[in-house]
Amino acid sequence: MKELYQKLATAVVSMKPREVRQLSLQVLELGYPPEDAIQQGLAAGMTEVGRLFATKEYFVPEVLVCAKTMYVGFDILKDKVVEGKINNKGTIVIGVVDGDFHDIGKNIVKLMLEASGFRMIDLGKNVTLDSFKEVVDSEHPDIVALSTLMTTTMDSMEDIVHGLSLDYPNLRLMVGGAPVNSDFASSVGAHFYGDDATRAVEGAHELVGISL
Amino acid sequence: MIAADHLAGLINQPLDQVCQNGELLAEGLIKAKELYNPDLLIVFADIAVEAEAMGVVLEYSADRNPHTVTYPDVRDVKVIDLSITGRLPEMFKAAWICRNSTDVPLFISMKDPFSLAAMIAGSENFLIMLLEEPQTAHKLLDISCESQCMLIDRICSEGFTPLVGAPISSGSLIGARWFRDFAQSYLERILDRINKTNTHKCMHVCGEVSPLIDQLPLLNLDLLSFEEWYAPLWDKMPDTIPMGYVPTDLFAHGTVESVRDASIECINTLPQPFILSTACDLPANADPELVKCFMKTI
Repeated sequence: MKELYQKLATAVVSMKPREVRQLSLQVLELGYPPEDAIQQGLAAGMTEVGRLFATKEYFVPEVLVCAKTMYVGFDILKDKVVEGKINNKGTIVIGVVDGDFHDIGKNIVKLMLEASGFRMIDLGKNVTLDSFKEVVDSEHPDIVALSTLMTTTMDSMEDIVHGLSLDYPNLRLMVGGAPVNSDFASSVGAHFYGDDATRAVEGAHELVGISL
Repeated sequence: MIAADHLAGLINQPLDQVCQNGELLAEGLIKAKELYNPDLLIVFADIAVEAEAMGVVLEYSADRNPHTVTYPDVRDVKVIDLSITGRLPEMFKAAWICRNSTDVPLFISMKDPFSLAAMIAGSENFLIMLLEEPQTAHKLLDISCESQCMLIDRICSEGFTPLVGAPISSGSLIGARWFRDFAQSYLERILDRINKTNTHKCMHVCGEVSPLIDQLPLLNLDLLSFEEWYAPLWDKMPDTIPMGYVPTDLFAHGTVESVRDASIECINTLPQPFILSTACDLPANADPELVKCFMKTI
């Protein structure tokens, strides 16, 4: 079983969608728990991708293609998972802040968090405070994750962090993006700043009290 | 470096007007010259000017930079004379007005072929295309490159200098391998074109330059504007003038002291001769008093 999961992880890292598809179908045929294949195969592969990205062996093109490869398997396995067995570490609402339309960074963070077992609600780009509040009211997430690429929209990020902190004091807030740093995150009252997708995954676990 | 979003604030005009109208853009640049007294001006509306001319549909807003609402089918994109298409004529109009009103060198901003191709196809689509459909990516790069050569001819023939911006072929996003295989040769083509007109070869790279330590020196640039200070790179580029790299967020969120300290640090670090500059373009909401403080540090 473990050998099959390892092959799945390797196929994700080496960007082989056909192999991922074949291995995922094999998991189902053999009656292995699909949630284990997702966590120990697909997600483990994406964790390795995150490591390669952090060490600059992979760049954004590889990460995007690995993610596409992972979803080939995820789409096959997810329907067979017993409810509550995956994406059960918590719920995260994620979005690029109002005024910013750059979402590559957000998309990478989202897929890494999803692969690591969080339920993700993606609000896309140019998301206003009111839109975040609406979803927080309906979905009761554990964390809201905000991203921006532009210096210009750091004020938007600050406004959203303040607005959410005021109305939802127990909500955990994490921020990231090219112009953001830990000083800025602390100054606006965010609970975590991640300088890359790997740190975002670590931070999300810290915020919900799960050890990695 | 100042784009239309900051200039619009300086002349109290809506951004969607300033970034589409050469006269207003020039008015903003001339106002910036009066207020800040820079040694050169860059005509720069926003990063999407050429992509729009090649088929991307933008949505404009009074207080935000235009953003893409529709990408063209990459199979339909053709070589066009960028110098007479879309908003480019307005950029030339702005440059001419500035030339008649100021005595500083004038640059016109343009993108490198990789960044333009990515903006035409959509960045994620294009970055995936590098692995999955490399031939299609090269075809789009070739079309972008040819179109930009026509733009370069016009910029240089009118006595302006192109500043080639590389927001997506950045070390942070694509690293050395993809830069070498998909960005470098096209950059070399447009830089050769610039060189043939006896114009300086000037480029701005967004994000990290350290992953490109072996690639950037091969471009033989006269000037490289950058955000990330990486000393080993400059050992390999002794003939290239560095331009940078005061962090832009300081101009929106910093203090007089933090701007002054960062500027002094850059002055003390940069190899001579250098151009002290913001690391990238000023934020729209940059405080003019902090920009003046930066200029006084020099």
